[in-house]
Amino acid sequence: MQNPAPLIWNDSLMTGVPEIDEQHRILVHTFNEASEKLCGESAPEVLEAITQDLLSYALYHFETEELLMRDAGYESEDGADARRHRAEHRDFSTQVLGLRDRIKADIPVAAARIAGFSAQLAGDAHHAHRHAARRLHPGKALQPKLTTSSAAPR
Amino acid sequence: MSTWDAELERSELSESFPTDFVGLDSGRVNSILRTIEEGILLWNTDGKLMYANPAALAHFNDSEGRSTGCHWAWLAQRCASAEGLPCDGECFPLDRVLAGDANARPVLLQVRSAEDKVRWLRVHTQPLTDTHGAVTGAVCSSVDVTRQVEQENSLKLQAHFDTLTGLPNRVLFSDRLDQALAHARRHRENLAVCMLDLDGFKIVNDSFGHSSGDQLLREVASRLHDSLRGDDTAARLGGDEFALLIGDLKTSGQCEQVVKRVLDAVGAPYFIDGAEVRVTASIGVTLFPGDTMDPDQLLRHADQAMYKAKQAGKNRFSIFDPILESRARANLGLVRKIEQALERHEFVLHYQPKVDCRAGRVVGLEALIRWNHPVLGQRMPGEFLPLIEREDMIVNIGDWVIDEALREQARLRAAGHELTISVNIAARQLVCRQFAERLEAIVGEGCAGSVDPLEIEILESAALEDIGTVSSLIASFQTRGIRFALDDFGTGYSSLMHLKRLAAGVLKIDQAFVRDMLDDPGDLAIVQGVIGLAAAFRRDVVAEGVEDMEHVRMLLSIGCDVMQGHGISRPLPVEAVEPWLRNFKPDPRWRAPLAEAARSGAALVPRTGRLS
Repeated sequence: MQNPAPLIWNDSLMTGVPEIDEQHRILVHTFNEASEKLCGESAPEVLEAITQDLLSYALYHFETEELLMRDAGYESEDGADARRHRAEHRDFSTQVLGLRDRIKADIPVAAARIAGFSAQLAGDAHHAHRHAARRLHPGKALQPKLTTSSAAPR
Repeated sequence: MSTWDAELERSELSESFPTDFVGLDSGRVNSILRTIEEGILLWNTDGKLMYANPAALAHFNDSEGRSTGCHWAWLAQRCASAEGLPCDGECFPLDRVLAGDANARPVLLQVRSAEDKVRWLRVHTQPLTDTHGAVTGAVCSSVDVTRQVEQENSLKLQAHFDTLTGLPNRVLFSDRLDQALAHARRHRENLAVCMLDLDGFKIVNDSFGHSSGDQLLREVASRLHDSLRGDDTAARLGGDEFALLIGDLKTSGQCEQVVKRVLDAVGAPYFIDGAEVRVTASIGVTLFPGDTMDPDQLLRHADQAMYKAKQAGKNRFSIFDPILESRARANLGLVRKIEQALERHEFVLHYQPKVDCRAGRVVGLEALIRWNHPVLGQRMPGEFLPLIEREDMIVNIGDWVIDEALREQARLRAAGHELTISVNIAARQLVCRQFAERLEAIVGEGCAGSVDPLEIEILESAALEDIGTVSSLIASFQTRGIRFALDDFGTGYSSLMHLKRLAAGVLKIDQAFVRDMLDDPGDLAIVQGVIGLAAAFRRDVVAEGVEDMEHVRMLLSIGCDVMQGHGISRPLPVEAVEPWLRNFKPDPRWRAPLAEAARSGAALVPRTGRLS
C-alpha cells in the first residue's frame, strides 16, 4: 500500500508559541510514524501504541490550544471560526476512536484514512498558526504554509 | 629520663645551624651529610653542581658523581616530570630559585634507577643567601618517595579503573563524559554515548563458572578497547554492562559503523578453557547534540535505547529518539492529568438501560464513565481509558466507578427500582489481589434487593491476560451475588476452550456485529453464533449497539431478548435515570417480530434463557 507523503517539519509551521510548536513537532513525528506503520504490516501492539499516542495528543494538545484560544480572547472575537476549530478537534478524536475500533476488529486501515489525518493535522497547524499570528501581531494575518514531502524540498 | 635527653632539654634549640658546635670544617659537614637518607645538592650561582651527598647521587643514579661541576640541565636530562614529560626549567626550578625565588614548591620527578626502574623523587630547592640577603647559590634536598607514589597510584587506579578488565570504571567514565561533552560543545562536534549489555552472559557464567565468566569479560573488554579509536572510551560499569564514548563523529552513519564494528567484535566466538563460547551485545546509543546536555540523562537515554535493542531481538543496536521520549513524556503528563481529574471530581457516570424486550422490562443499567474536561468538555471513555489501562491509576478509577454505581443503585432501590448495575473493569484491576477483597466486602454487605447487586463486565482480551486468576475470581463470586459478563464478545479469540474456562454468566455481543447484521450476512452469522454458543454453554446473552426497531425485532427473532443501545436508550446522566425508569413503557412493536427475520433466524437458533 502506498504511504501518504510524510509531513515535513519546517519553520513555516512555527506559531511562535513554544509550547504549541513543541507539541506540533511531536505530532508530525507521531503522524509520520502512524502513516508508516498503519499502512504496513505492523504488530497489533504497535498499532495500539500509535492510536494511544494520537488519543494522548488529542487530549493534551487540544487542551493547550483551546486554552490559548480562550485566553487570547479569540472566541469572543471570532466565535464561528473558534467553534469550527473546536469541532475539528472533536472530529479528530472521533476518527481516532474509529481507527482503534478498526484495529481491534483487524480491519486494514486505508492509506486514505491516514492521509485524512495528515490533512487534519495540516489544518490544525494552520489554525494554530493563524491564532498565534493574531495574538502576536494583532491586525496582521500570516499566511500559513504546511507542506508534505511531495511539495517540499527534502 | 636519660642524661642525654635531659641534656637536650636543657640546651637551647635554635633554627639556625650551630656552626660553633659543628665548626666550619668541611670534613665534619661531609660526615654529617653522608649519614642522612635525604639527598643534598649545592649549586653555585651559575647553576653548576658544587656538592652532592651520596644519597643525592644515588637518587639521581649518578654513583660516580659525574654530575659534580655540571650545569643543572645535565642532571635534569636524567629526569622526567611527574607526567612523564622531559624535565625543563619549570619542573626543575633552579634558575628561578637562583634568581631569588624563595617560594619554589617541592616538585615530583621521575628518575630511572640503575636497575632501569622508575624511582620517584620529591625535590625541594631553596636559595642560599649571604648575610646581606644576596643569593650565593641554591640547595636542593631530594627524598625518595617511590613507595608512597606507587601506593597512591594504585589507589587511584582502583578508584578509576575496573580491576577485572582494566577498563575505566563508572567514575572515570563519568569524568570523561563530562570532558567529552564540554569538548563537543566547544568544537561543535558530535558525540555518541552508548550502553552495552552482553546477551547470553549469564548462561556462560552459570554453565562454565565464574572464573570462565571473568575470563570472558576480560576478552570482551579487550575487544571493545581494540574496536574503538584511541581517543574513544570503553568502560565497564559493572556485571556485563559496558559504556562507550565515541567522539568526533562527522555523521550519524559514522557512529553506526563504529557500533556495528563493536557488535561484530563482541559477537565473534571466544575460546575459554578449550570450549567455544558465544555471546552477543545489545547496544543503546544516544547522540549529542540532539539529545540533552545532562550526562546522567544521556546515560539513561542510552540505557533505554539498549533495552529497546534487547526487546527487538538482541545482537543489535538502537538509537535513542528524543522525540519519542517527548511523546512518552506527553503521555505520562496525561496520566497525571487523569489522576488530577479523579481528585477534582471531574468524572461522572452515565447509565445505559438494558432491556428485556420480550418481557418488556428493564433488567439492568450499565455504568459508563465520562470525563467532564474543564477545557475540552465531556470526553468519552474510549478517549482516555486506553491511556491509563496499564497504569495503577486504572484501579483507582475502577474503584471509584464501583462505589459510585453502587451508590446510585441504592438511590434507585429506594425509589422502587430493583436493577443489577454493571461496571467495566480493566484487566489490571481484575488481577489485583485487593479486587477480590473488594468483591468479598460487597458480597459481605449482603444484597438488600432481590437481584444480583453487581455485574462485572470484562473484555475477553483482558480476561485472557491472566485466565487463571480471572476464572477463579468468576468461580468464587458467580454464585454469591456477583455476575460476570464477557464484553465485546466475538471481537477477540472467542475460543470454546476460553468460554469453558471462563464461567462468566453473560456474553455481550459486540455492537459492531449488531449494527451491521442487517446488511452483512457475515455479521449476522456471528451474532447468531454467539447466541448459539450462549445457549450451548447455558449463559445469558446481551446484544449491544441496538440502534433501531429493525435491530430489536431481528434480535428477538433469533433468540436474543436482552439488549441495549441508542435504539432503546442513550446512556443517561444520573439525574435522568430515575425519570426514564419511571416513564418506561415497552414498545408495542417489540411484540411483533419481522416475519422474515423469524424465518431466517429463529428457526436456525434455539432461544436462550432470559437474563433474569
